[in-house]
Amino acid sequence: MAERHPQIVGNWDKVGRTACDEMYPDSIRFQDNGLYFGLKDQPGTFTQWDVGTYEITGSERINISTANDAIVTYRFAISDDTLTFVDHYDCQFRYRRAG
Amino acid sequence: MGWVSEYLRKITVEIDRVSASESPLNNGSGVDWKSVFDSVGWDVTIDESDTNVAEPSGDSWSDAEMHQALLARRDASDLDAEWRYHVLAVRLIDSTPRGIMYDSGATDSNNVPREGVGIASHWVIPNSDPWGLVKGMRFGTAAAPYFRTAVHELGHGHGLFHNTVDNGFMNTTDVIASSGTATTPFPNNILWSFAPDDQKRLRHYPDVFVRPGGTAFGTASTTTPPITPTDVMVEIDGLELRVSPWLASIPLGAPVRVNVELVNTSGESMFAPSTLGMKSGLVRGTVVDPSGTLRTFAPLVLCVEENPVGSLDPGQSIVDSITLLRGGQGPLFPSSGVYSITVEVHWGSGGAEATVTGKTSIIVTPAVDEAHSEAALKVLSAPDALLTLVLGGDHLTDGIEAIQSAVENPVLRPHFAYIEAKRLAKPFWEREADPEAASELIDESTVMSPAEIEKAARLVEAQGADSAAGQSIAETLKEKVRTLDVGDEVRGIVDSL
Repeated sequence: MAERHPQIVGNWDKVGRTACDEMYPDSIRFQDNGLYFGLKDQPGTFTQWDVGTYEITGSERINISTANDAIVTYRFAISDDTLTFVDHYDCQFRYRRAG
Repeated sequence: MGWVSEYLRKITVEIDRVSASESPLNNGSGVDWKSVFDSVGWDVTIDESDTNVAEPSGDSWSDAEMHQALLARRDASDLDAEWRYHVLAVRLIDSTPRGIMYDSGATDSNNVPREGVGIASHWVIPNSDPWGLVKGMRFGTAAAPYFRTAVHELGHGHGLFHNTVDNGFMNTTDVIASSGTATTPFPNNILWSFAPDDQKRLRHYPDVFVRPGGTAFGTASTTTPPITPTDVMVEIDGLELRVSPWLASIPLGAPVRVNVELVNTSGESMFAPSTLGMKSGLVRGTVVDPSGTLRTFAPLVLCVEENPVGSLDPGQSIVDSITLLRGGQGPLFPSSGVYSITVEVHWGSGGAEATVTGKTSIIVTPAVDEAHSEAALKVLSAPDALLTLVLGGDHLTDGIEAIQSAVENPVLRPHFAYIEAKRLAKPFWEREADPEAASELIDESTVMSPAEIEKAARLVEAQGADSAAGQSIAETLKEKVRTLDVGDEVRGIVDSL
């Protein structure tokens, strides 16, 4: 069941870069209509989260539609202005709310 | 000799389905697979094949089950003979509501990526906004979005990513639906085409990016290698290239002098070229003649500076003039009429190529008499005329002869006098500089761009403004800067002579 999490709505910039999170966008915008848009700093670069839907299904679970249209569940957490994700390869990556 | 085919590429799309699912064949309003792929130059053969694919585990399929069905049910698989893609229509899909290009990553068990896609006919479209005219419908009965999804997923099979530039095939259904309005509700706001950049990819991507079994999904790139030269180019906001002709009209055969000014119109310092001369290698362009024929011009000679780019402060500008006569296709202004000139400045910026362009136009007036016509023909027919203009010297005899013919013609003399004067004013091998001959060529009628005035002033300065020739040229230049808009910098250099 979808949960509302208005805190996630807004623009976020990735904090730090590691090899495991390379496929995720450098900036991401979550809209209040359930859509998101992700971008890499280098225009045209592939990212697993490019555009699609997101749905928060639990206190720590979010479903995100991905680049090939598969919907994948991720663990996530919001703390103040930091958004943390963990994917199914245990890759953890964070975003900070953009100013 | 002729074309093998009017098409660029040829594919087969095999459509298999479970018995309860519809085959996605068209949008219900005249758009089908053929029309979709005709628009990008692909010859598509639709193979409506199995209609009774067994459901391995109930009505919903996993990605692995769809891939297994691909391997088991497709009619053929010989990537050396054909590009065959597989569309499997099932009732439901575990990993997504509508459709998926599942043949990627761990699902691609045979390591031949992007061969197959799945589409779910029994997803029920939510009975609420933003689903417009198809609210509450079973997906397979909503022909338009159902067919669109099949094309979209196959687009991923061709290596295309999502694309939100318009409501075309590679945008997502959710985004398109959310952009519907009361007057144009979903699915009427679907654009039944690939976005222009996706069309370019489908036409020009290397085979390995688009064909089934090529590179993995997510690895196609428009910049490595660039599929067209414009792919690595980035238009720079905040920098404006202002292009204007030194003379709005010139007689047939004369070179065209163009002023170029690169202005930082933004509020912050910008990385920009520090010179706009042709010899910098950063400037090139095109000329379109009255009949619409396009010709190109580019630097003949490069003088590569260590730092051709630098910081340009807000409001600051770089100015220069270029002289156009010939390009890669021959004379740039071979006949009378109106010409459109586009100047492009390119420089490296962050791994891509930054570019700004500016346009102007000029009128080439017809030959006034036979003598003018003959002199113009001589210049226009002499490839070395441009080399002589750029390099000077005494060795390009054909070019020198053409320019001297122009100098001897009263109509063309003003436009070529400085070019010949510049050549004579510099020594060449055993010939000494002849400033006296040069000074006789430069008078109040000599057409000189601001850059040429500056170069002449510096030449006088270097050779000595005290000589009779130097004083003569200096006087002429000072008169020119009094009446012409050459800019403060050039005026200052001339006034200091």
